[in-house]
Amino acid sequence: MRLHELVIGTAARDPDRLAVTCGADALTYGELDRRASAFASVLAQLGVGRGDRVLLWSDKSVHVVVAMQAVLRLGAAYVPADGTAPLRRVTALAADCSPRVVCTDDGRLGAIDRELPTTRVIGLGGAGTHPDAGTHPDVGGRPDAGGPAAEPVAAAVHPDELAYILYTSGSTGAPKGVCISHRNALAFVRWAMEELAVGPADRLANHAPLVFDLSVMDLYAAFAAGASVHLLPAELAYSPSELVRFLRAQRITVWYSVPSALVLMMRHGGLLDEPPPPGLRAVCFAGEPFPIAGVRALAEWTGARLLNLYGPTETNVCTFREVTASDLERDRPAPIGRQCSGDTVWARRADGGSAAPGQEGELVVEGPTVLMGYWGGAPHSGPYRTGDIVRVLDDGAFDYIGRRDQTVKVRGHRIGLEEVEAAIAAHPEVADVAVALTGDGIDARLVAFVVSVDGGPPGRLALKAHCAATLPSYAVVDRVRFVHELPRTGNGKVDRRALQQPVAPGGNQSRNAADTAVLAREGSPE
Amino acid sequence: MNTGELETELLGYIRSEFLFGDEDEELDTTTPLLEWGILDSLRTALLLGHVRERYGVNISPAKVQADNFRDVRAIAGLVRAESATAAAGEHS
Repeated sequence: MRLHELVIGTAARDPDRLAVTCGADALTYGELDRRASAFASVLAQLGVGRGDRVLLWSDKSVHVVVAMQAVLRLGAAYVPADGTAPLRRVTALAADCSPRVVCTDDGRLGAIDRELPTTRVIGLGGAGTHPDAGTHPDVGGRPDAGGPAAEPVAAAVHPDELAYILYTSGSTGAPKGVCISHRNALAFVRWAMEELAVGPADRLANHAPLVFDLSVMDLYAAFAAGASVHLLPAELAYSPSELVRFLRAQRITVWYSVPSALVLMMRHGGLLDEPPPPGLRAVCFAGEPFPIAGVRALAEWTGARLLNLYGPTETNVCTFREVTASDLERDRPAPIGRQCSGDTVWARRADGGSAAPGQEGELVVEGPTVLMGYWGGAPHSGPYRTGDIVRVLDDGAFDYIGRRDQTVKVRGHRIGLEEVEAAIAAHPEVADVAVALTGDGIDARLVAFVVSVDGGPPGRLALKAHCAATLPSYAVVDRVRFVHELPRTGNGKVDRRALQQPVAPGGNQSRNAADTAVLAREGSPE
Repeated sequence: MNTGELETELLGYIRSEFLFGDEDEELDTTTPLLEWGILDSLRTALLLGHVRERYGVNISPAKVQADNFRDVRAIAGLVRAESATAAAGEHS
């Protein structure tokens, strides 16, 4: 079984069933199938074939979903880039994964075409819809949209071949392309479909950006079950009240997002002011710890199942926990639960042994969801060490404790502090820099402690602008502090502990603690 | 409230809420907010909430486009235009 066969299979059984919506656009499975084949033939004429990559730089739309399916049908892999990503990041990703073709929203064509003179760039337009859409001057033929359905294109790729690459922040200072095979994704999708009992009547929300592994479940669990998936248009993501309206108007039955989005909807969107939509039966969250007060509020509001899903991009979802009454009574986030998706998950103690109940260790994952490897790197084999420290509870479930490296989460997005530091250090007026995270949940903030070169500090806003030109928006530092020197440990390393006080409840407190540690170095309070 | 006052208030809000109040000298009505990473999706959401609470103006989702949020001048223009549209709607 390959990922693209889910749409093909459902389209053959039930072509008139609703497959995907985004704003005013909607496609049935039959339409999605036809357009995917039509767009696949456009891409094929541009030379896309088995083993190639196609970069999709796009806002959410039904067209980009068509393009994803088209790419897979050719045996190629798609590489999503968010519509809000800065051009320099997109060109950096293209330089890394060398796509055969870049597809983008029509409005972005000019900008990227100039930057990538040697790569084919085409507009998504109404991918596969009308004769002028998705064409390229070099393409002789036109996609056949309205005619009788041709046999769906479906290359005979092996399930262990690459399906997509998700770029994530790495510890080396550069983004890393996580390579996921058809088998990797399907192991998780099948588990999700069974655990959530997704059926044809379900309506799944797609809240997460397509660059985010959370979006994989929404799309493919729906396609597998013949359910519909409802993409949140980019402009609605900015408004908490629109998010709540979207949940109600689309009659969502399965919601999946980062906790931050749910907190935003509760705090600023009036989510809890009205009874839950009648069909809502599961609320899933992942990507960061969910402060338990928020989970309690959800549990009081809805009888829907509440599921805490866990897994880095490298492993898809490898553990989960359905929130229990006793979880709600604890004063910490719900446990991340036990292994799922066919994986074997354990906590590795410092001495290499497997942690018993009451002990801590690094979470290790082995099984069908574990990545193929990083793009450009050696194939991955064996267990994957997540870098996440967990405690084993009495019932065998895992409780998330923290990270063992310099990776942080901002609203569910993984950020390597070294990557942000490298971006800032590239500024000519910066001599040294360390970045710390303060606060958590929607109060998480990145603070850069900057030592400037002689001749005076660059503007704070100039440094933010410098970050924003290369990093995704969530990785742009929130605050810039100028210091005379960075706190260092005895061996000369940056003393991150002094910058990064433990994140205690109350983001402001910890921010102040970090400030105080550095102010002592600055010599005088502000 | 005239446009100048609205712009000043919006600048004050952005400084205190998003910039920790510590970069007064650099932020003005034409500072590119999106391009410089001062506004992102979360902050735009918070700003929209503030505009609704402070001025009673609901910005319609169709208007949530990069162009309308590129700087404080554009945001002030949007708030005034949306508030005029709402007022016209009430009288018709």
